[in-house]
Amino acid sequence: MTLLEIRDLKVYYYAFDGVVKAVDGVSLELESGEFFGLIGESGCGKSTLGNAILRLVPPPGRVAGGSIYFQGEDILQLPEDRMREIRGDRISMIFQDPTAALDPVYTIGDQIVETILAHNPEVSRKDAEARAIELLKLVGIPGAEARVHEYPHQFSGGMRQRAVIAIALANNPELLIADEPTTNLDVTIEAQILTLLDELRRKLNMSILLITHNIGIVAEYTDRVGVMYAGKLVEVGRTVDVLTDPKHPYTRGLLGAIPGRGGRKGRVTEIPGTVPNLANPPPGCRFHPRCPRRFDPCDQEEPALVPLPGEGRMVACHLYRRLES
Amino acid sequence: MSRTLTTLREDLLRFLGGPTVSYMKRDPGAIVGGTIFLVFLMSALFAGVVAPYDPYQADLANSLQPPVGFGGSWEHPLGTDAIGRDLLSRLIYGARISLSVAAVSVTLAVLVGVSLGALSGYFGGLIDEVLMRIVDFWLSFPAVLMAISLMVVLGPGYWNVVAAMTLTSWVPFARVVRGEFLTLKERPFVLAAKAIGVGSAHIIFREALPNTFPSLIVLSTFQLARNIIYEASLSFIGIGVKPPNPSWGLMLGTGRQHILDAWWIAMFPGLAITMVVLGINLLGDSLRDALDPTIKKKLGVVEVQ
Repeated sequence: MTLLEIRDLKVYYYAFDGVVKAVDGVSLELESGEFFGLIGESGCGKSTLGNAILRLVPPPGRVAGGSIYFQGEDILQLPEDRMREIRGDRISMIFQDPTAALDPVYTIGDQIVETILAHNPEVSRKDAEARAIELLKLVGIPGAEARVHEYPHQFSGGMRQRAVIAIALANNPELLIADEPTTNLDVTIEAQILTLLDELRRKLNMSILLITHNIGIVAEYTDRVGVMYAGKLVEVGRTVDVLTDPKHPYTRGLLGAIPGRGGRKGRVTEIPGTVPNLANPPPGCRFHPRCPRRFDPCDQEEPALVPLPGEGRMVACHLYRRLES
Repeated sequence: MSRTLTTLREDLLRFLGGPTVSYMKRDPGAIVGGTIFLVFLMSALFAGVVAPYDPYQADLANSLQPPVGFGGSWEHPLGTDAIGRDLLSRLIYGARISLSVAAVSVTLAVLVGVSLGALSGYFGGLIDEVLMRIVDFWLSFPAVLMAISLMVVLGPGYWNVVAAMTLTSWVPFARVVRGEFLTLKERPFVLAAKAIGVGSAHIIFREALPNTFPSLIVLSTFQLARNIIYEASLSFIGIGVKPPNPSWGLMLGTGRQHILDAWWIAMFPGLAITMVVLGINLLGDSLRDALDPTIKKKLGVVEVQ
């Protein structure tokens, strides 16, 4: 069942020196219970896309077009108070920096209780507190009964992120957006947190949209993956397919930039150049100035996302249109 | 909204409870400052009980009695003034005026300043522009001059002093709260709060405002001290509290005429002003440290990073 359907979403930042098209016509579908990875370099618009789903794009950013259907309802058309009912209840988000995402003046327990009460005013504070302890246990915080009364600064980094996850899960959301949830954590904690998210996803039957630049964790955990470049979705498909047989030259470049791939002789290759300025992207395919395989139409015509053989496989590159014709 | 306000009160109480108190108990500054402040506060509250004489009762037979140790007797420990009123009693009743003028005006200033500052900082835009230009205008006026002009217009009197104090001390609160809100609203936990689906009122009262309490409480104590000095100054130059009220500033002003033959009349009110202001400032300093939520490491709570 389709849980979330993004159609031709455009999110622009109206800055002083021009319009930055951070997300420019992205279409994407998320199935119920699916673990979806969204990868791309820094500044390619993947976090903006995540924020846009909750309608929390910071100013001067604005959704400039498109629609986001959540269980069949276009949430971009909802009035703000209806949207507030969805946030934290049916769609939750966990942020990159768990330290900053927790309010320093409240105990961890208070912050979970607050989330529960915001959406369930009929629940008593006592019941909400019991649920908070239950949630801390669920995310694997030892001594939850005592730690529920502690402040964020008394938690270690990994424990803080677990607490943030507990807050996000407080109302059993159907969709969890995880924006680089482990970037600030060390590798062992990263593995623990992601394994935990994966377990919780199965247990609670929610979908996860994981936003990351780490292809390793995408390979390890996700069912499907989308590759973003300069505000566009350039490739999407089952994780196994995309990572073992990348079609888009950009995806290939990304995979070539991982050390250790291709055995002993394998060399790390970089993608030459940098991400284009999104206020003034190159014409045609946005990747063409850096692309090793560019040809005639690339600098003039923008490639559309076209289906390829394989389950849900799509790519936006002129190479494949040529093959087709 | 009403739930938000009651929980706001709980936040404030919890803030001042537990760890804050245990920290301050170990801080010598807080103990000294707190003791001084408490002595004055108790004097003010129970003036009728502790004052040995009626502060308004003249006794010309005993005028200009020196204090104990300077030729005076225990009848009048701090001596008497030109018309024989007991100085100690007048000081004790004076604490009532000083502290109440300061406390009432600071409370009003907090209400005005915090509301306007929060509106300005959280919503920004035109509201912010207009309010902050008003604040700029206010700040460009020397506060003493403004207080004096207001008193000249309003005339002397207790409530007029309160009004003048309020009108000259709301500005720092507005500025501080606006500044804090500007940074607080960009903090990820505010975005995180929006992501759990709460509204503006919740974010202002439950997320942002409690984070300004440390600054607010500290600023309040300093403004309290400032307003005690201002009240004394206005009364000193004769446009504050009306005689025969035992305002410290008024006593200081009348004592000036006798500074050479009866120094104690001016000396003790001056000392009282200095002591209470010092006490409040020491308390404020300690409160600032104690209210920092990360201060618990000072209490020996081990934090493993």
